[in-house]
Amino acid sequence: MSTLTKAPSKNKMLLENIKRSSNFSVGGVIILLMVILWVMKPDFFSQANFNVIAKIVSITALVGLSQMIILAGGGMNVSVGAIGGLVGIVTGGMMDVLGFPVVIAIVVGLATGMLCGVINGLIIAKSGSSGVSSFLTTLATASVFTGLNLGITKATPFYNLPETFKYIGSGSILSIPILLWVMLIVIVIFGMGFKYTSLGRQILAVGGNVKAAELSGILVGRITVISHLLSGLVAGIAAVLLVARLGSAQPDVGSDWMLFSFAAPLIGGTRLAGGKINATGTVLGAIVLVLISNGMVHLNIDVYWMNLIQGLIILAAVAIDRIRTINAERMGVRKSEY
Amino acid sequence: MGRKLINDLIKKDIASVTIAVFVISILLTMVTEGFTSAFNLDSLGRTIAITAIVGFSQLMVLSIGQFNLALGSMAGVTGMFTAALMEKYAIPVLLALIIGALIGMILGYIQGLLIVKTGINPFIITLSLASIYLGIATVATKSEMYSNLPAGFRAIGKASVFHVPILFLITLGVAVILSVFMYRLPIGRQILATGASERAAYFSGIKTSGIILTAHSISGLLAGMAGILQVARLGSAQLSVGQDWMLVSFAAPVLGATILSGGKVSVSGAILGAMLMSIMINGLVLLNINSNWFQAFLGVMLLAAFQVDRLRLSFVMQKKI
Repeated sequence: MSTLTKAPSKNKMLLENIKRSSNFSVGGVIILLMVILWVMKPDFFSQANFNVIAKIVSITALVGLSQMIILAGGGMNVSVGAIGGLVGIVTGGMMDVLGFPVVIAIVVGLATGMLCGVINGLIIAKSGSSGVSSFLTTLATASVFTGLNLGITKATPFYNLPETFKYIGSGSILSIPILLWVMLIVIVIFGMGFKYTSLGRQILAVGGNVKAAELSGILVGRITVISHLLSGLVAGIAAVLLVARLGSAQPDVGSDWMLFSFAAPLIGGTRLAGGKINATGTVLGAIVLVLISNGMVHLNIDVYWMNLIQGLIILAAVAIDRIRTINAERMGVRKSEY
Repeated sequence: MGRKLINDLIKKDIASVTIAVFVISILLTMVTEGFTSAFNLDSLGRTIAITAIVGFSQLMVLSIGQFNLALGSMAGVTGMFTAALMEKYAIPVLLALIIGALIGMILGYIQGLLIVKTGINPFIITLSLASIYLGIATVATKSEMYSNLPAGFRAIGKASVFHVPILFLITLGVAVILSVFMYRLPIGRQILATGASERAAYFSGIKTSGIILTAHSISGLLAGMAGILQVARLGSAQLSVGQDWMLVSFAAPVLGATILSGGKVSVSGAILGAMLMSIMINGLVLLNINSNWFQAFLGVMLLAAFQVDRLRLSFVMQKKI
């Protein structure tokens, strides 16, 4: 009897939770965007366009994830794009100029990304792991990484990439692009990692309150270095996928990542101040961003509007985040989160 | 001994950057051929002048412990707008300059208003405004370029008085006004107090929201000025004006003894910081180093500047204790 009376209330609570979650509202926005695009351009949902969108979403989501890992710990990483650019060039150069096999080139590329992350992490940890120092440090290292990239390449792309490598960008498994598979696997790993591993919880604890984390015995400096290493790795994966998709390693890979690296996680419900993340939300945020930009192309809207609209979207995203926080504070939900 | 020397230099605040400027200038004079040529010094003077104003613009918001990432876009918008006023609408140069400066100020004011009213993280606001402002300029001009600017306007960027570029004199004038504003007027002290501790300032009866608005408005005004002067120097207005200023805007004030966390600024230090950055880049050009490496170099410089900032801060802390 008691189970019978409990069951509906439990369901109701679940429903209530779903309604309140950011994924619900972002999902609604995605459906709305799709309907609008479908009404205005019926061929928007062709298999070809689906593949294009899926690939761009995959890369955008990984770029967002790279930023989300740092946001989780209360920092910022404005060098995500610069790391991506350097990884793309190293991977491409290894194959084109030095003739290394695909696997080794990718491994060295990703190792470069991790190394860049460790450099960021070490400098930031040394100057106190605060949000301000992470912003300024990565601003400076971004310039160093981009400079190395341009110095190595003399600003010319690597074109002669092996077919097997390009296949990563063009191939499909079970009629789903390989890029999408890779993204899903990485997102699941990190989503689970933040939920169930002590490392993930520690990063979130640092983001929630550095002082409290330090006092409860978390080595904040070590956590900073590890989270930047992971961020560099994910930025590297995004870059390798992008180079595979483009079929050439351009030095300007990543140069336009800064804005949507913040936008994707923030739209998806990750808190800018740290301590709260949403990996699924980051994918949903990436879908929103790509639908809007891809939709604009389909609707023949001038590319001149791109910057303006992207800026407005991210401002809207943080405004919503802000309202959400205020509401949560009012309802006392925020207390229970910690 | 080495430690003591470092501490002594830090104690003198801008001594370190002054010494660096001298040492590097002497080195470049010995190593390269053209460094002291009239042509090079003239062009260097103009670069320093504009870099210094860019540094002032960032210094204004650093003084309250915030950043202005939209500074480059503000400069671009203002430069384009002023050029359009003169070229398309044939508005007299002086009037166009005044309107342009006002536009820069308004862009800064909007930024301050959003920060004060919404409570959203200032970093994200200035980041998205950078994109929005550039977007507005792109949409309004369709990436057009304005290159038929009046000769009177271009003279600002080209002419010299007694071999000193007018641009440099303008920068000195701005520096004097800014120094008086920051160090002599009550509002300047209030800005610095807000930067040192917003809470403490608020409880001592300072209207901190008004102070934040003022700091961002002046930052916008200075960014706009830098944009207009850069257009005058180049002789044409294009959207790329200001797009690569972010790094130097931080480096110039921080190298020159301004503290990142707010509450302490040095106007003359920012000029010296701008000098150091400009001379070093000039040196790289004279040494025939591929320009692709410049960006890496700038990044290392900025990192070094932050380390100096950190040393300085820990020194200040020690002294207080």
